[in-house]
Amino acid sequence: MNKQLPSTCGSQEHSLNRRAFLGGVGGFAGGLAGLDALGNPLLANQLEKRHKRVILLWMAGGLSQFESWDPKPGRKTGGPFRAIQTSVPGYRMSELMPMMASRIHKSAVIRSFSSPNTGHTGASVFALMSGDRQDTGTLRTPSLGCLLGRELSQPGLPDHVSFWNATWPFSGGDKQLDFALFLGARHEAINIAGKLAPDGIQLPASLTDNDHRAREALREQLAARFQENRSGNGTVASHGGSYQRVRGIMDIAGLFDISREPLKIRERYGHSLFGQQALVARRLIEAGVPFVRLTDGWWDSHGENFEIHASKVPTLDRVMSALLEDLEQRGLLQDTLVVTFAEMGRTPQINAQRGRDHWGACWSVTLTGCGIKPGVIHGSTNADGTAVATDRVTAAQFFATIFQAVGIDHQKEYTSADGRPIRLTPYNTEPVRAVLA
Amino acid sequence: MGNPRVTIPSHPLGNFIMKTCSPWIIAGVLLGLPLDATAQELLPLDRPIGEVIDHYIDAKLQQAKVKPAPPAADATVVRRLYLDLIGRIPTAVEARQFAGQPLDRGKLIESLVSSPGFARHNANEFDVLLRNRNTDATSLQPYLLEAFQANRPWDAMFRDLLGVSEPAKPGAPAKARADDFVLKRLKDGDALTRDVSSIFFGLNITCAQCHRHPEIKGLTQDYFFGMKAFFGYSYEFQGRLLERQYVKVADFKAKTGETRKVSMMFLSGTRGEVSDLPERELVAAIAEETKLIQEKAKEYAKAKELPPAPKHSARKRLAEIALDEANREMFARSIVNRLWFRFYGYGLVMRVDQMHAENGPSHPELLNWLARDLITHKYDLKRLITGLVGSRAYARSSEWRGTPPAKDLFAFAPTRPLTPAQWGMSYHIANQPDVFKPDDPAEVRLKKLADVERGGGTFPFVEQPFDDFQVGIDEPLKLSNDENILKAMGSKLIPVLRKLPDARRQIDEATWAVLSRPATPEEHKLFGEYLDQRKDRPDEGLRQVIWALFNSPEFRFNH
Repeated sequence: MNKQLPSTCGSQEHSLNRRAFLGGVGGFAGGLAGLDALGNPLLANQLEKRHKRVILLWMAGGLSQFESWDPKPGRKTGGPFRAIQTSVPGYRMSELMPMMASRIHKSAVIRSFSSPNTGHTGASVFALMSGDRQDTGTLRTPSLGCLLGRELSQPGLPDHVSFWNATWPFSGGDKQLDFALFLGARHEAINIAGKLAPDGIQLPASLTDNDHRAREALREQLAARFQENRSGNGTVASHGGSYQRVRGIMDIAGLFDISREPLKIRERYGHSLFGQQALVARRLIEAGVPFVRLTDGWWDSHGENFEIHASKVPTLDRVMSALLEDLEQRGLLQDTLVVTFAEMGRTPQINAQRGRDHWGACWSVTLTGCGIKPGVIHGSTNADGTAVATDRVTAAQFFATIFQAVGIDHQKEYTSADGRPIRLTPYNTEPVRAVLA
Repeated sequence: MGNPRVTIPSHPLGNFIMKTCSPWIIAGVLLGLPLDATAQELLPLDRPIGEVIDHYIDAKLQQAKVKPAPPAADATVVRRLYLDLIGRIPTAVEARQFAGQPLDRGKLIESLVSSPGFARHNANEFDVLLRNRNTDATSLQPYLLEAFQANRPWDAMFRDLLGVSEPAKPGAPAKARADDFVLKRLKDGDALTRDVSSIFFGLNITCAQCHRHPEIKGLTQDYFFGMKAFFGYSYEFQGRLLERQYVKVADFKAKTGETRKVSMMFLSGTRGEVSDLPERELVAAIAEETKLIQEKAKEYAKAKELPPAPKHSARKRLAEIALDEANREMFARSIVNRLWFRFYGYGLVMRVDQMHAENGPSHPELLNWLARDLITHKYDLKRLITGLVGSRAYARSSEWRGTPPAKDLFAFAPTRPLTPAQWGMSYHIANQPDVFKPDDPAEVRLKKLADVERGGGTFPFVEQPFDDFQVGIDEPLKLSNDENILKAMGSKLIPVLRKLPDARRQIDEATWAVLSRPATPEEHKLFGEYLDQRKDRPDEGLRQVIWALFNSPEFRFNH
């Protein structure tokens, strides 16, 4: 049943390592990027059809829409910054984002996003991360990243990599806000917090490669005995599956090494950790990793909102424009969707600490690249930015749009652990067709 | 239709308006609250809990014609009990004590629930339970530790957590804060309502926030807002949880479009109004009270005086209604089901926060009996836990050849991932066998254990398990390749093993230390050959054997 496809190097070792990523497909050996498989016509066809990728730029804590995509200069809610003309006639952005303003005609902006969530953690954020479903009761559904990672999965590569430039909220229990749940552990994120590569991706200095493998072989034998009469237990199976993936991830360690990039490219992304992580993300995407999340922390500006945004928005502007330009120049943007999103936006009201608080009613998200109609500014808020004026977009609609943009039927059905059929987005959800190409 | 009318006895607090009308009682039935549980023919009260469990579980197995798994090996049961009752594996010395003689399970259970680890482990477990998966919820571990050390009954803990217990007598030692449970959730009344309903009554009513519950016909929005109203009077004053006498009765917009007045109502339909002032007087009373609170706040730094407590506390009212004779079964059934889930890997009702009439228990009489027993014995959790781990069903093998039967038959024991706390403590225990000597007096061993516990450390890559939990890649990457972890893992175990005369003894000792059992013949062969090939660098050979044991699923799971 496990028909072996030819490996590029012919090494049995490689086919074994990569099998780890394949789950039920069996032992096919792809090259580093999974692209060597193009030599096989059957598989090349499959890759061509499905080889879409997504980068999620997550503004953890909540970017202010007023200081970025939806400024209201001169209004009592507007704050001190000006709005500048952009490359889309009639659309103005905050003066803090000149680089994105000059290339916004290649993106789509939704200014009328609306969600009930106003927290950083807890059930309502989990709900938001899986599209604010109202239709599944207490059944938890997988997050956007885990769903996309699974749908766009590439042989020989991890499905889902998640970068954090801050340690919060990367600590303790519900650290990722991203859960694969019944999709299986291989769709869980590889989390990288405060650095450029995951922990434990290099062979430890204290071990030879042979000892590393022999040690795992020993463990495997113990595991096989334990699993033998527990075949129905998904959690036990995920434990074994994750150990089997370790060598495969060690094999792609080079992808996380940005010293291999030309200096000019590295300069373009800047020296912030967020920027450097974005460059690693591009390397991963280029190699075929289907979903990468880049979390930029510390947007939660309850006090000194304007100072915080004056310092952080220009970095976002630089990193985002560098990433989009780089992807475009490499011909990757047509297959890569870049999304900006967060837990929430920020209040129109400016509080006594010159801060803005949590706000879900109307804020902005953006989509660029794969499947997106460029230059669309969708929806609007009223003059003070206190309510949606036109074309309210919900999380479910937004997620449906993302799925559609990368060629996934947003009404595709899968089955939960308790046997319930569940669609990728709730029944009757319509994507925002205005921003789809 | 014939609606049963039930009279709720009048309450000592005379000016509560007790409204009891038939639709609410119907709703109570819909919520799975037996009107008269004692009318069912249950096994007698005085039977041991373990025996009752087996009676009902066996009956259903026979009915389903399923032969349950055989009893687990003694060493497995010992490990299971240590993990379940005190949150760690036994030390090699402890585990070996049970070898070569029949296991007196009752005696072991008794000694474990009387040891300090029982309070520590339950404090950890209940802390997770009370968080209800809110990552930013305040830890109540210090309070829970005190509570379990004193074997505080569950109803008293419920009152503590709601902040309505009798205040401590002057001069009594300061108690850790329990009412943070409510206080830290005040900013999100919806989450507070959800958590109180799910944790204490087994019913997540979140969906009734926006619409009628899709599965429980009687559960309308009135229930969500009715429960929320019990917390509507609460506010924070100088870091304390206080209550007002007067608040404006809020309205909510029903799905049908009409605006409806919120009034306090428990999940069974029992109502409890605090004030019935006419609208105009109420507005004035609220304004006056607000002014008073503001004044007290201004003077607080000097005067240290709190605003007066209300004549009637809404939270106290909730505790009274929830624990009264008509409703307390719901409270008892929820904790019974949650603890059952903890030890048996699957609830008598699944999911544990969906306990309602249209989602019945797999073993209704068993759940009723256990709830009745808990009430009869004054909500004694130690008694309940001791009983739950005392059945034959608990001590079955967790292995099943071929396709396993339905989980709700409890034909075999569950294989459950360790919690981060269990993993960390077990790792420390296994990693330093030299600390514990077979001839340590009991008090010396206790002190050593306490030291080990303090040095427990945290292992953030081991995640708190939840439904459909999957072990992700972060954990094996860390454990496989992190230099610091590799250096520590086995560092104290290797010198102990090196003192042993031969590989056979080393393999046996390592397996006792990590897996709490002797090595099997296959393992002797596997590890023996491995060590033989590394005779020139024996420490490295042992290190890798130890790594394989620690990273085996047998260590990672409670099986």
